[in-house]
Amino acid sequence: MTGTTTARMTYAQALNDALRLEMLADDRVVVLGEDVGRYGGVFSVTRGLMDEFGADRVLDTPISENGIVGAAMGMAMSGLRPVVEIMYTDFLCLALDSIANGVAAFPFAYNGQVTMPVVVRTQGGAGINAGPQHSKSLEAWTAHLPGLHTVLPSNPADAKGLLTAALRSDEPVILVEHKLLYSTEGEVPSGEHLVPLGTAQVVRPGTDATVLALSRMVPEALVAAARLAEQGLDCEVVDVRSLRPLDVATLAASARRTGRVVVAAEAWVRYGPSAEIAAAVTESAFDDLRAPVVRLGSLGVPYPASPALEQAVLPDAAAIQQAVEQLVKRTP
Amino acid sequence: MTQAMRNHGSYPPTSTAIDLLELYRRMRVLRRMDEVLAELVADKLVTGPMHLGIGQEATGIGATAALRPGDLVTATHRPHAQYVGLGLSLGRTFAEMMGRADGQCGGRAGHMLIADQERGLLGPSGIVGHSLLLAVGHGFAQRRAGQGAVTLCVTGDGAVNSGAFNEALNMMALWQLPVVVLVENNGYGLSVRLDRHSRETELYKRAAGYGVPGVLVDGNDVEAVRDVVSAAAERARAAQGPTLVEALTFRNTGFSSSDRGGYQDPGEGAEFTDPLELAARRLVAGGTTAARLAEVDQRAAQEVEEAVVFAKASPWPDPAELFEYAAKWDQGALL
Repeated sequence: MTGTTTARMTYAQALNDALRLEMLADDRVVVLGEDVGRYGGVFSVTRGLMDEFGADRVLDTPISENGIVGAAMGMAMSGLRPVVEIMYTDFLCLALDSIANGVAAFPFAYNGQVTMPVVVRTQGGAGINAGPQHSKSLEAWTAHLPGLHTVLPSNPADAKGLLTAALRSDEPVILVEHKLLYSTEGEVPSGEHLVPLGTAQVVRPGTDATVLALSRMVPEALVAAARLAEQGLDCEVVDVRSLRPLDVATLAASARRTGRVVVAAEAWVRYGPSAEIAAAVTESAFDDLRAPVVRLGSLGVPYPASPALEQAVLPDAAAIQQAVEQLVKRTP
Repeated sequence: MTQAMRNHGSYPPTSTAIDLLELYRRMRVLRRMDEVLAELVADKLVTGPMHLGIGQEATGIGATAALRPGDLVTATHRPHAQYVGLGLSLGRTFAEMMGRADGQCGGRAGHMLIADQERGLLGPSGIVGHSLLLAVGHGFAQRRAGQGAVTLCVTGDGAVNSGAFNEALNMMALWQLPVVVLVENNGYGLSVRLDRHSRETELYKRAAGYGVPGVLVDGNDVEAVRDVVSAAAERARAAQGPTLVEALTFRNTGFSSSDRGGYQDPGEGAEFTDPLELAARRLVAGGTTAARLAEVDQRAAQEVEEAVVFAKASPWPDPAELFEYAAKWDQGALL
């Protein structure tokens, strides 16, 4: 399913590549959202699509988040395959009615009489001093809902592969992009490239400890693992990639191999995605764990705008490194 | 049929075939359905909230009679008129309301959420304002398909104060979508009378703020509703965009089965025009005999009775399907 050639592109370009290829392949795919048309998206993900596919395939919408997702829900029920851009995850709050009461519920409630091939692309996370209303990681909110997939690509290839899989799925998918990843570069398979929804990936094998990382914490975990290797600690890094379904088998297998697990997610720790991941791994691999699973995430405060304050809130490679070191120290 | 239109297919007879006697028959079936549902709720054979539409029959029956095959319909939490007007199986409708296996949605949906893809009902929602949002999507898909299909979007006076109303009406107007928005103004949003939840009580006037036509119609006159919605639908089919129709009627029943009452002034509703009586008077004036009407009434009652018998005989759904559904969302291995 994946071509043999690759091209170097950014995460944003990889997402654009996925949208473009699917729009070429299937004229039912329509893109809608604020700024997505003439402007090309505030993060440039939809750049050029309106020129290529026209204003009936790429819709500049009013600032109406619930209306946009609600309209996408109706489009999907009428046979189209809408892709919505919600500019910041924070604004997804305005559309949670349509998502929770409609998108996630109708295929079940109507007993399969309608399908809901809706993709909601949104952008979350902190790191650009955007403050309390433009920085949150709310993926736990949508991952909590049966009836929805929630996936978080951490690199350009996965961004293309997961978005393509989402666009092909007849089920609704929330794709949470990260604002600090849009400009990161990587090798991306050319042509058709799919990453199955619901699959985690071991991105760095290791034997001494496991870091289960999500979104931007994956590159941070890889930096931490490289530093730990200098100390002689061999750290495995697993990209969780999909919050629902959660690939418990892959996560637990790694936990069993190393016996030491740190979960690194940017969201607030309490009641967040790391809680679910830690619980699921504990349930599945308890006998092989040498200590309780350690959770890392943001400090429990609304995100501050000041660069000095924001950095104090966020987990990073140093925090991951320290957590692994302490875990190893406790469990010689 | 394009892929964009794949979600709906066959349909009952077109509006030209629907005369007043047939409209009366549908209203009578609907009235009888709601009367029987009140009994089934009292007997606990139907559980959960129940939203009856006694007194509002003319709006939904008149509006659905204006549609053609391939049109789509959204509805509110008070959707029984759409069920009857679109000709859904009465037996399967009652079975759904009772939570039985033969229900339209296998017992998953309850009385508020019965979708019928074949008859264009996609679909009602128990969330106030949802029907408007869905209609934006349906209308956009229809406009793109370019085959002259329209969406009838049924909403209520309570929904005009939701954010969804503004978001949806603006998009429908902006994109000139083939939608007829029918506001069933039954005088109450929950327990709150219209003049206590909306400063401007002439709701059709809101249309002007969106640059679309607004039309007021007597919502108790089934022919008037049919004709006004037909005209609005023809406008939509001719790519002239949406219309907001306000149908004035009266909710001659509580908000739901849990309504404790006590919020209406004494004598309120005394001037209520029963849409069935209005239609019956007109039919008799036009030469239909009283015996003929009695026969229609009797057959409607019989049809409803048979549907209830069917529903009562239907087994409970097997919860095993729920375990399969949960596994699909909780276990990646099944993907």
